[in-house]
Amino acid sequence: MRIPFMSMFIASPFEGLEEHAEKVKEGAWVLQKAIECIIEDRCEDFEQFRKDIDKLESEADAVKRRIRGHLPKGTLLAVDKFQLFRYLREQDKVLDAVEESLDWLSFRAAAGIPQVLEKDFMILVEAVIDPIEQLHQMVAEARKYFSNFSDNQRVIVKDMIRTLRQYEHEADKIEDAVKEKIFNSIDDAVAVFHLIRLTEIIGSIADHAENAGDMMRAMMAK
Amino acid sequence: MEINTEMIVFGLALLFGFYMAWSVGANDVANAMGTSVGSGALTLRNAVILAAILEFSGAFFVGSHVSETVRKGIVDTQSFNDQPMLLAYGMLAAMLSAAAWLQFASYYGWPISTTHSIVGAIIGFGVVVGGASAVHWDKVGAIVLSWVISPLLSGTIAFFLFSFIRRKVFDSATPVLKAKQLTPYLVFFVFSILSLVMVFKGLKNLHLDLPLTQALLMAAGIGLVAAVVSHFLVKNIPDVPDEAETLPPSWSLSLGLGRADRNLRKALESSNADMQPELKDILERVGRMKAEVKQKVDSEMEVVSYQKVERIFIYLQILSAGFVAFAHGANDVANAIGPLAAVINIVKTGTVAMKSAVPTWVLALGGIGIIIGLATWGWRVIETVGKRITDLTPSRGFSAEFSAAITIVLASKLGIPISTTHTLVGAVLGVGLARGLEALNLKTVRDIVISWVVTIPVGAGLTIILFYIFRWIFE
Repeated sequence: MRIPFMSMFIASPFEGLEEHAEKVKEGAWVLQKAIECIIEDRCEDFEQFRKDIDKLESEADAVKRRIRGHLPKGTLLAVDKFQLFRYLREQDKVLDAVEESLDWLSFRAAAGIPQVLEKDFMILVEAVIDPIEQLHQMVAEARKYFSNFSDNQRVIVKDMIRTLRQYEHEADKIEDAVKEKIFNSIDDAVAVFHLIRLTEIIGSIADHAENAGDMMRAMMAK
Repeated sequence: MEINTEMIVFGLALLFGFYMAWSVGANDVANAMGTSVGSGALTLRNAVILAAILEFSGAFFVGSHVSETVRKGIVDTQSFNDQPMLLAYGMLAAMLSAAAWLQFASYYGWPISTTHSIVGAIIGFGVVVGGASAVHWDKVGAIVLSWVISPLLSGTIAFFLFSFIRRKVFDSATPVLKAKQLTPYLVFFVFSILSLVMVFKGLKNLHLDLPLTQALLMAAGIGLVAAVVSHFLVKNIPDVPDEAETLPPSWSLSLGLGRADRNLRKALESSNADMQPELKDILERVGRMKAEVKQKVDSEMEVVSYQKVERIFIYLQILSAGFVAFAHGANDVANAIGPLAAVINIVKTGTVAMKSAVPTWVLALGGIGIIIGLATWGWRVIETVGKRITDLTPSRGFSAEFSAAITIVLASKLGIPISTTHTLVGAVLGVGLARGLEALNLKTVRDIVISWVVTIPVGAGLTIILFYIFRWIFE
C-alpha cells in the first residue's frame, strides 16, 4: 500500500514516558507494602515483593528502550530529544532507588526494623510516595501541554512541579528526623549503619523524583 | 489495417487512462478523508460518499485546466505534425510507464507522486523522439519548480494558520468561546476561496466563468451566507461545561472541601481556647487537600474544554477535507485524462491539432475512474489511515488540510500539475513546526526529495523503452 502520508506519523515518546511513570508509581506502592510486611513480625511475602519490583524494573527498562529505540534521526519533536532522554534516565533512577532500598533491606531482613522506629519508617515511606504519585500525574499533564502548548496548561504543570518540590522538601525533613532518632535510640553499630543507609536510600527516591520534575520544568522553558 | 491499429491504440489508451484514474482514487483520496474518519468526524461510509461526490466535481468542473497542460503544455505537439501517431504512441507509453513505476514504488512503499511520474514520462518521450526543442522547457521548469514550492507554500500557510489558532483559541482563558467566535471567520474563508475558484473562469463546462469583480462579489456572498449559518450552528454550544455529564469528576469533591473549609472557619471563631489548636490543624489539612483537588479540577476542566474545542473543529475539518477532495480531483484527474485526451484527439482527427478543449465525457470518465478506485480499494486505505493517524486531531487536521487545499486549488487554476500528497505532507509538517504535533518523522521529507530526483529519469527512461516497443509492434 502506498501511503507516504502515513509514514510521517510516529508514536509519541510522551506516551511511553507516561507508561514508564506508571511503572515507577507501582514500584513505590510495592515498596510501601514490603515495609509494612517487614514491620509485621512474620513476613513471608518479602521475597515476593522483591520479585515484583524486579519485574516492574525490567518492564520499565523495556519501555525506556522502546522510547530510545523509536526516535530515529530526524524526528521532529516538541522538545529536545536529549533533554527527553535525560528526563527519562532520572525518572528511571526513581525506580532504581526503590529497588535498591528493597535490596538493602533484604540484606538484614531477619533483623527487620526495630520497634521504636516502625512508625517513623512508615511515615518516611509515605512521604516519598507523595512525590512519586505527583510525578506520575505531572507527566500526564505535561503531555497535554506538549500537545497544544497552551499557557493555561503550562501553569498547571508548573504548579504541579512546585508541589512536587514541596513534597520532596517535606520528605527531606522527615528523613533528617528519622536519622536523628536512629542515632539516639539504637546502640548496635551494625544496626545503625544498616538503618541510616536504608533511610538515605529511601530518601533518595524523593530526590530523584524532584530532579525529574526540575528537568521537566527545563523542557518546558520557552 | 491502419484503422485496426488506431482502434487498438484507442482501446489501450482508455485502459491505461482508466487505470491511472483508478490508482489516483485508490491511493490518494485517503490523504483527504483518512484523518476525518480517524477523528470520528465522519463515518467511513459518509467519508467515501462525500469524497466520491467532491472528487468527481473537482475532476469534472475544474479538471480541464491541468489536463490541458499535461496534454499539450509539456511537449510541443506541432513537432509531431507529420507523424501524429508517434505522439499517440508516446502518450500511451507515458501512461503505461507511469502506471508501472507507480505499481513498483507502491510495493516498496516509496512516497512517489502520480503527477511527477506522468510528467517525467512525457518529458522523456518528448526529448528522445521530438528532440530537445520539442519540450516546452520554460513550462517544464515552472512545473518542476512548483513541486518544490507547493509543499513549502502549504507548510507555511499551515504553520501560520495553526499558530494563529493556537494563540487565539488554545492559549486563551476561554478556549471554547474563542473557538466559537473564530468559526464563522474560518468558514467564510473556506467558502469564499472555494467559490472563487469555482466561478472565476472555472466552470467552463457549465458556462459559468465570470470576470474577477463579479466572481469576487459572488464568492464573498456565498462565504457570508455560510459564515452566518455556521455562526448559528455553533451558537448553542455552551461556553463552559454546565451539564452534569461534562463536569469534571473531582468537581463535587472540590465543592465539598470548599464548604468544609468555610464551616471550619466559622467553628474556629466560636470555639474556646483549648479547642483552637486542633481546629487550626484540621483547617490546615483541609486547606492543603483543597489546593490539591483544585489542581486536579483545573486540569480536568482543561481537558473538558479542549475536547469541546476539538468538537467545534470537527465541522471545520469535514469542510476542509471536502475541500481537499475537490482540489485533489481537479488536479490529479489530469494525470489520467491529459494523455488520454491527447490520444483520443489524434485517433479521431488524425492530426495533432488540439484546438478543441478536453472533451467533457473524457473528464467524466476520469472522475468515474477515481470513484471506482475509491470504491474498490480506496475505502480500505482511508480506514487504515484513519486508524493509524490519530495525532491529527480536528484542529490540526483542519489547519493542514485547509492549507493544502488552498495550495492545490491555486496550482489547479494555474494549470500546474502538482503532487497533492507532497503538498499535504508539507502542510502537516507546518503544523508540526507550529508545535501542534508531538512527534513527526522527518525521514518522509528526505524520501520525498529523493523521489523528486529519481522519478523523472526513471519515468522518462521507461517511457522511451515502451515507446520503441509500441512503435515496433504497431508499425
